[in-house]
Amino acid sequence: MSEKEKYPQDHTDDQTVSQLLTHLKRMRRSVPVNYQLKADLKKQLLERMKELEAQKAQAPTGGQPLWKSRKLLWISCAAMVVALSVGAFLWWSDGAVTINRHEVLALPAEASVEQVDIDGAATQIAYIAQQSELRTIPIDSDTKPVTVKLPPTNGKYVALAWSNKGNQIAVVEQAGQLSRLWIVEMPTAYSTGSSRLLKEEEGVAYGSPSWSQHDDSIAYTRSKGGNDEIWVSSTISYQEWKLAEGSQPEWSPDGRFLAFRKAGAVQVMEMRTGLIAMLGQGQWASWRSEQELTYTQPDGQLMEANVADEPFVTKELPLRNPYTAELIRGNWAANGKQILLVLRENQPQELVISLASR
Amino acid sequence: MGMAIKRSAQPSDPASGDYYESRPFTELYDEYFDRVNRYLRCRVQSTWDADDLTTVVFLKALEKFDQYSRTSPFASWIFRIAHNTYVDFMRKNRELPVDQEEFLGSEPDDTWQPERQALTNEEIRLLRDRLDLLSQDQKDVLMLRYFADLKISQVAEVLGKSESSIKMISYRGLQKLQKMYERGDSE
Repeated sequence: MSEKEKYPQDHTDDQTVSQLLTHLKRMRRSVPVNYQLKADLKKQLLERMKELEAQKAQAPTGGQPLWKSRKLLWISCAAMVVALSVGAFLWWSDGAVTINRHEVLALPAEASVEQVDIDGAATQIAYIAQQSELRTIPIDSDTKPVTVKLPPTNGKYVALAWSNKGNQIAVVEQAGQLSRLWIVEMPTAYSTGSSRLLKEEEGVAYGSPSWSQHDDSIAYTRSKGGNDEIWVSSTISYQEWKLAEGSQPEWSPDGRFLAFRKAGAVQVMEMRTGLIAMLGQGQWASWRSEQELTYTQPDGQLMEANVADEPFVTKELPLRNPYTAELIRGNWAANGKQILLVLRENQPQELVISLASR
Repeated sequence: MGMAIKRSAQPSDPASGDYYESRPFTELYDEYFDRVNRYLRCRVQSTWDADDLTTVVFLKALEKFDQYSRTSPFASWIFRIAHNTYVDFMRKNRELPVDQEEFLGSEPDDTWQPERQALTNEEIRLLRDRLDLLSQDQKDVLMLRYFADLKISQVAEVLGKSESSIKMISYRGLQKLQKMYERGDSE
């Protein structure tokens, strides 16, 4: 306390007041302090502090004032409501597949479900039009539509598949007894595009091409005399070899697995060991990620499985489909978020292509 | 709980506008015990009662330490508890003013300060008698001001009055004491 504050200015020169204040000061100093009590009370307080800390540890909010408790209660309730809302939203938007763009394209009813594919980056859709044209439909605004004239044929083009890099498309031509597998280089700003024949065979039917991880080989279905086989052709060396009995091969993004259809069931083969596991009845497997894939059941239900689970567990993947068309095939883009849906519409009869996301 | 914080920095100056008392409870106890104990020994007749009240004050302070904002001086906060404890005690016990003989301590205590000897018992008794003649407000203000060694602003906080009011009460209390000194009366 400053002297100025302690002694009011008007009285500093007053001898009596000065004497009085001196007395007060001395009087204060003369009052004894109980130091024994000070030491004993400190011990008592330290013990009490330990008790309070223990109580606080047991009941963190027990020591809160009532208004704080109420406030916390309200905040908790509000947080719960928000969490439930977010949870419901996530369940609605993330847990299920929802169609965002219905009928991006409609194909004749006799068209093959293999005639359309989405590229890995989910920027465009490619499909076969007028028997001999390859066309693209942009999904994003940065991509422009492209039309590529395929080699003239007296038959028809029945299947296609984007390469992983998105610069090539494998196309299957069926001309009478002759089946051909073509690789189409898509045009760029620096090139006009081109086609080259990878494989040609008589008396067989090729189908459902699928590019390997590094686009250096293509797996496809080779049907002959009612038997379906899966073969692989190198896009570099032109070597070819049979991989398995079955159809609809689909490489996993990392090349570790190959999903395919055999005897009406979707199966997965581990490429390193050759071990095969069956997922369930269905068709058209498509990899959403390196370990997750989906396929379509005969009743049109989309199923999902995770090959990291031992044993494999499959479950329904809800598809929010407000339309009457029935799902036949779902084909994921490499980003694992968008899926191209091929649906069959009965009135009128046609194949409807839609875009959905999870 | 703030008492668990082991920081020993002195609080910043309240006049700076960003006062913050960061010391833990134990350090504040060490500093303020003497002042609170002295203040209560001045105000109540029995030293035993004064010590009991001192214990009550610090136990209350510990229980309520979470409510201490730390942005105002601890002195104001602890003396508000001390003063309220004293007022409650007086209401319950209707205690008579401190008896000077007991007030100055007949108990053997080796903590008596040398200054005590400079003030004769007679002088102190006289001062005490004169303080008892002041109004309750004047006694409260002068006791807190000169025995608890609080600043004007802190006394104002303890008693819930404005600083100008405390200054006025203090001035009038000192004026009254001055007249008593001049007249030499203590009736």
